[in-house]
Amino acid sequence: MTKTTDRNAGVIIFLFGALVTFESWRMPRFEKIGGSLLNAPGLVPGMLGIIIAVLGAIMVMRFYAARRLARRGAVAAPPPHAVETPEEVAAEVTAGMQPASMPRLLVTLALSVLFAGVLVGRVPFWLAIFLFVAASIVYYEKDELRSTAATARVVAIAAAIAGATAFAVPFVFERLFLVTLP
Amino acid sequence: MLDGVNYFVQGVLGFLTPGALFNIAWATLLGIIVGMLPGLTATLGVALLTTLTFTMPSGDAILVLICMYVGAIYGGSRSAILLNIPGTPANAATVLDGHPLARSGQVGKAMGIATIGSFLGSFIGMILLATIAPMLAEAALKFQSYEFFWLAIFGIVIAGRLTALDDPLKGWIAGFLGLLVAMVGQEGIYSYARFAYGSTDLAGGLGLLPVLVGMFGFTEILFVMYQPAATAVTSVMDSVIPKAREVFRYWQTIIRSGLIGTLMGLIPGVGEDMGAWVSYAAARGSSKEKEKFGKGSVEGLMAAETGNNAAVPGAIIPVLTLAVPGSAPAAVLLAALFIHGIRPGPLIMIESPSFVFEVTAMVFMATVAMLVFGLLLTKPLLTVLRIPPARLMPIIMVLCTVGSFAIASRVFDIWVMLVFGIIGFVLRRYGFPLAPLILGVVLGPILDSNLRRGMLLSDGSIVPFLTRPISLTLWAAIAVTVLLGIPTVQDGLRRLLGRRGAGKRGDDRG
Repeated sequence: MTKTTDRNAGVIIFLFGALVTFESWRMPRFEKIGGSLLNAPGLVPGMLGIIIAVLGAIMVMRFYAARRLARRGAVAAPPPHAVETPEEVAAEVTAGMQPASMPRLLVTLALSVLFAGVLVGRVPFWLAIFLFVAASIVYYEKDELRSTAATARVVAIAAAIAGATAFAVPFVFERLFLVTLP
Repeated sequence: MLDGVNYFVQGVLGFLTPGALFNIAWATLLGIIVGMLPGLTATLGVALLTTLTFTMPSGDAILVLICMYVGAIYGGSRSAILLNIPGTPANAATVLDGHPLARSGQVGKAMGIATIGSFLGSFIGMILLATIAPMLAEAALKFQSYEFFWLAIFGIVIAGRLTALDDPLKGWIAGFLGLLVAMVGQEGIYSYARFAYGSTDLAGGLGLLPVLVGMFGFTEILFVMYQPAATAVTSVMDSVIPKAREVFRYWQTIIRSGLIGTLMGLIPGVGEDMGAWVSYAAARGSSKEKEKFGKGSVEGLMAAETGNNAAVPGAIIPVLTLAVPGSAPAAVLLAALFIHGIRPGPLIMIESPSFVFEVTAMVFMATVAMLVFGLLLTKPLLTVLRIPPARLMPIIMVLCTVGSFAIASRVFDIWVMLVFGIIGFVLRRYGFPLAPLILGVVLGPILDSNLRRGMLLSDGSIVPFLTRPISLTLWAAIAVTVLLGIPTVQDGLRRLLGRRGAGKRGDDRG
């Protein structure tokens, strides 16, 4: 609860809240047409900005208060829970997970942004789907690419799944359910 | 009361047509599959299915979405039992006893108990939906701007408190951030485009569905690919259908979990995962077999699954009567109701009195379909769990893109989905819950319009906000919730209660 990341998050949240409050204060009040501060566009965002800034400041103060207590050696143990909290279970179930991988995360992010933010709208949607799904599967299964035969197998599976998705999604959404696609 | 029963029966009979039964079947089955797959949540399932229902008649659309919702909350129990990973957050408590039961060779029994528990929970919640919703709608007719303002704040405060038990401050920050997200775009009095900075896209606001698909879809994809689950699926060996006495031996647990789950669903933004946890904690506290909890307790598994499924109809109650969602999937359902021209809120029992009971009938049909598929399709559904996440997640990303775009046909909404997906990943990574944020996006317009309208009505006086009876109750509840979330206050209370307990024991001995 009192990690350095919490302090950093608190600082960012405080600054964000302060910025929102400032921007809300700058919004017009339409006094010339009978408006006032009480129904100004910036009233509610300003209030929210102040609350968010206060909560961010509390996070920062909490971090330093806990650090002072720790230095004095008076760290209180967290109260025992009658049953594990959701956060504790989440920590336990990660035992059933593979190791975390930042490169895989970054590639997922890059491929997703490339697909949804760049390709969609610029190339036919079915082609964007095919390229994205195929590239993603080939990347995620790159550990299987140990021989020419294995590579051909992975590429074939990726192409098949990508092709099926590129056909099925436009067909189901546009033809069956009459939904507009990009 | 009799009118309600009549509407309910008519609703059920209306769904006994081939077309409706077909919709119930595929939507519930799809919901179970969505719930089973780690990385897909009930919220995302309902959001993506909303896209498909645009051209459907409103009754069919709501039926399909409710079936998906009920199916998905139940479906997560499968992966919780078999993979030790909850398929949806609502099934996290199921892991504690479901997986140990599976490890001890009682996979079928575990899935059967989970299925029956889900069925009974949904059934109890359905009865409470039919009885509480009309009463709550009548009480809500007394709500004016002042009360709706405090209701919005109360929703954020209670959701933040209960979805982040270890650190409610983060829950509250997430909630108020969500309220702020809702402020982007044109406001209702002067049509001034807040935080738009000249962008016509931002002036149109940040839509709930793209934000939601981003935070519950793209964020989930990022997490799954960051740390995929180990997929070790056990084959089912023993019988799935439990013995009746094995189930009804825990009838008190079932009824208590059903009531608790419905109540948790009723509280804005709290939802199914707290329905499961609080039911589980209550069952453990009053069980004669406490030592079995966490090691394969049938009672624990029953409590968790009854509680989480009871929260589904519970979450629908405030959707229909207050237009305030009880959970994240219910937030999507609320958006879908508006998309299909249905106006939930206090006037629903006056404008469409039969609608509440039609929704009750939809929950009933979805619950029966869930029971049938859950008991009959145990082995075939296991194949779904063998799909590698690496092959599924890109397809889910495509569906997230479609789902974000289809609402308003804006490419901008796809960018909203991407940005909020990244924000959601960062927030979750550092312990901030996302449910209060989504609730904030829903409640933001209610907060904004009612505060400003209230201030206009009272000529700038805050007295009505503080002194009207319902407003007073709500802000007092907010103050108590905030105070109880402060560690110093919690420690003080604990010491006070500990001292009183010791004093009482001394008096008894004396």
